[in-house]
Amino acid sequence: MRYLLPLILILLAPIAYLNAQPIVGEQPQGIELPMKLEMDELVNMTVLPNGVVKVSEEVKATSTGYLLLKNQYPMPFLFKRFIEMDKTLLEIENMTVNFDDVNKRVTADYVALGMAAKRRGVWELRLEGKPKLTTRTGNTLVFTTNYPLPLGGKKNVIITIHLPEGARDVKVSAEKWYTSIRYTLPGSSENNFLWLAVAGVLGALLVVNLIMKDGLLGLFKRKKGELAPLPS
Amino acid sequence: MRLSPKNVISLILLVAIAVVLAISFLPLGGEPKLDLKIRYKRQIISAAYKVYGRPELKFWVAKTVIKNVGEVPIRNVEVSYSIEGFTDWSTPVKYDEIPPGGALVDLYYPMLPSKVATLTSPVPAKLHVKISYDKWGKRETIVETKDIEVLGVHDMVFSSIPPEEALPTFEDRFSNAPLLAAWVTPGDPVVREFSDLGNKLAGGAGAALSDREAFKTMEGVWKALLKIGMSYKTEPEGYWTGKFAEYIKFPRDTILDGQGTCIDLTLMYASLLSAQGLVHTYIVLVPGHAFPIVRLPESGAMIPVETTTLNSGASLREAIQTAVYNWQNRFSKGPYLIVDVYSWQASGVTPPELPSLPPDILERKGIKQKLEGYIKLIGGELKSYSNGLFSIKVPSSWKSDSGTDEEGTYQSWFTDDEGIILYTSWTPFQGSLSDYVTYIESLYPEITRVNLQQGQFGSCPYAMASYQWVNEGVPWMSNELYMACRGYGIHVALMAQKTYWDDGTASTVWERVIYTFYPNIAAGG
Repeated sequence: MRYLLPLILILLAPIAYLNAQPIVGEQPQGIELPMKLEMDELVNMTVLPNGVVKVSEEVKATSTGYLLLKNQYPMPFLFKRFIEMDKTLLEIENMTVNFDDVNKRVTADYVALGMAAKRRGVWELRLEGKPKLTTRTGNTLVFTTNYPLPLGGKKNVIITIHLPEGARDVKVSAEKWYTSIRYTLPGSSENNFLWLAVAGVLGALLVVNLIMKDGLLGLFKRKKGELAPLPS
Repeated sequence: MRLSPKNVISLILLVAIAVVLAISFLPLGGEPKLDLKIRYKRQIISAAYKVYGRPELKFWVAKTVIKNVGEVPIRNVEVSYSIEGFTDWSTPVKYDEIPPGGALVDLYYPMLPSKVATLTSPVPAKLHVKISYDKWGKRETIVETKDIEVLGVHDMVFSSIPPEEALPTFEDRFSNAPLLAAWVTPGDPVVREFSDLGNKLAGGAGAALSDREAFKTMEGVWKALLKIGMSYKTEPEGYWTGKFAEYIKFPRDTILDGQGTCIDLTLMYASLLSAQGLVHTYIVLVPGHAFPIVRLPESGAMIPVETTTLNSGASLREAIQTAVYNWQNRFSKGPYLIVDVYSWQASGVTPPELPSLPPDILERKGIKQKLEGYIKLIGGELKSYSNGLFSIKVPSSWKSDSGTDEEGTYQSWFTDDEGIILYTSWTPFQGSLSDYVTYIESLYPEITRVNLQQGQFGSCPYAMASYQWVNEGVPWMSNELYMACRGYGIHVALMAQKTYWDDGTASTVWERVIYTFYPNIAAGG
């Protein structure tokens, strides 16, 4: 019992002190920031033989997420910035955006210029970030990735890429800050080789023509000595 | 003249070869036609010059879009860039061809020299873009030149999106907001030293260990800022319009100048806390204003701080209350942008190399002495005093005196050099707590009670009270604890001039000391 009061006093002093403070409690209260936005994005890319890419995107979010998204980008044309957030390597043209309030999704269609370019004899399409190749069926490649959104939010992305018909030697590699998809197309360079081959053959014939005494025509002439003797 | 058949064939072959080569190399469908568009940043933000060389951060300086609007491929395209006076021509990026209807997009991420961080004012510069390609078997070269500015190291433009391309959103008006992370400098020796002094004021808290420790550090740093008289300076007109490059101080400048705009104070407070391990700081931009948020290490609670309240000498709690109120009632409705300093710095938005300052710069400015005196007062080592009746810990530099008067009251005084007095008394007393309070108050009729709170814990009632009075024209205040228990009256009081309460000094001392008070009833009885 004799130790009870000192014990009480020890406990009491801080409590009494805190009660006298204008803010009750040691720990100040913080603020609630908007919820972490998490959404799914389906991207469908069709690569044309000239490197132009036709893109259809569908962004889906929870009801709250959709409202937040719409609050931040209230007009369809403002949504361009959201689309561009993880795409600097391309130029977006002819974009149409549609907010589907019933299904809580946003769809966007646009043309992406500059995504695919021909370098060192092969076409290369670059995807920003580190998307992982999950499926490949013929010339259709499926990648999955996620991109951070402000304040710890996340965008889960599935990218389906349809390479041009006839694309071959498809190789996917992770570079420092992008993923590279390389492929070759039967195209103008092959035609070039063909024409060069024709020119080569013609050149060879020219050389032969110049070297031989009678030129190429000599190949088709029979030598006199080779004629069979007339029957006597 | 008559040609031999051999020569005729040679001639035919030569013509055929020429035709084939022409088909192969010459764009027979017409000449290449390109549509060239160059986007570029009008201003280079020198403080964040490192970001421009990191493609992953996407802060390109130029974006060249070449569209093939002709009927034939554009072949062997090369693109290179230079910023006159700052970078050499970049290694040309080569593209085999742009097919008709196709396009290429080329981005310029220059490795700028560190000398840009020494610029004190904007310097005009020229950005050159060189594009070359094959045309009729020859190289065609286009050089485009754009006028840009390399800004002084303190200059910031909030957006680099040209007006004609900017969308009417807050996001576009502040598209460069992430670059503010380059102004958060926890590694700067000036910031570190000041931050350490602030942490000493908090009693050497380990900020990253717990929420409580983190808050102690926040408070210590805040008190250090109050102690050196840090003040808020309003922004010049047009500051937030985004039309002009704005001068933003590095935290060291704000500390040494003792004043800053809301954004200067925000960057400084974020830097000071980061230096103590509270790395998860955020810069919130709202229309016409900025403030920091700190994420506590345990709970993850987001604590906003209205740093402009430093001006009025507000306590940290008041600054937090103000910021919470503002957020809940004004800013949370938007628009706003929140820059996650840690994430951006981890991605590469790092501060420039700042010029070295004399290592004793805080001393030369008198800041260190001011804070060390303050630390001695409230943040230094504590020394325990015990006399059998009670024990208490007070700053080791304080002087003590004690004695028992004719009524058997045991009294102790502890004083510091600045005139703060801690008084304790212990007296046999048989009455109630209110009798005891009335008795003590009757001894000092000149004092006015400001508030009194009572409570009960077990069989011992207690009271906490505040008082104020004027002594020789100088206002004084005190915080006092009373207990009446088991035949004794106990009284602990901390008295100081009102200015010490206003700047948080006295309340800090009270908080430190009162927790250590240990009345020993058994020994006293």
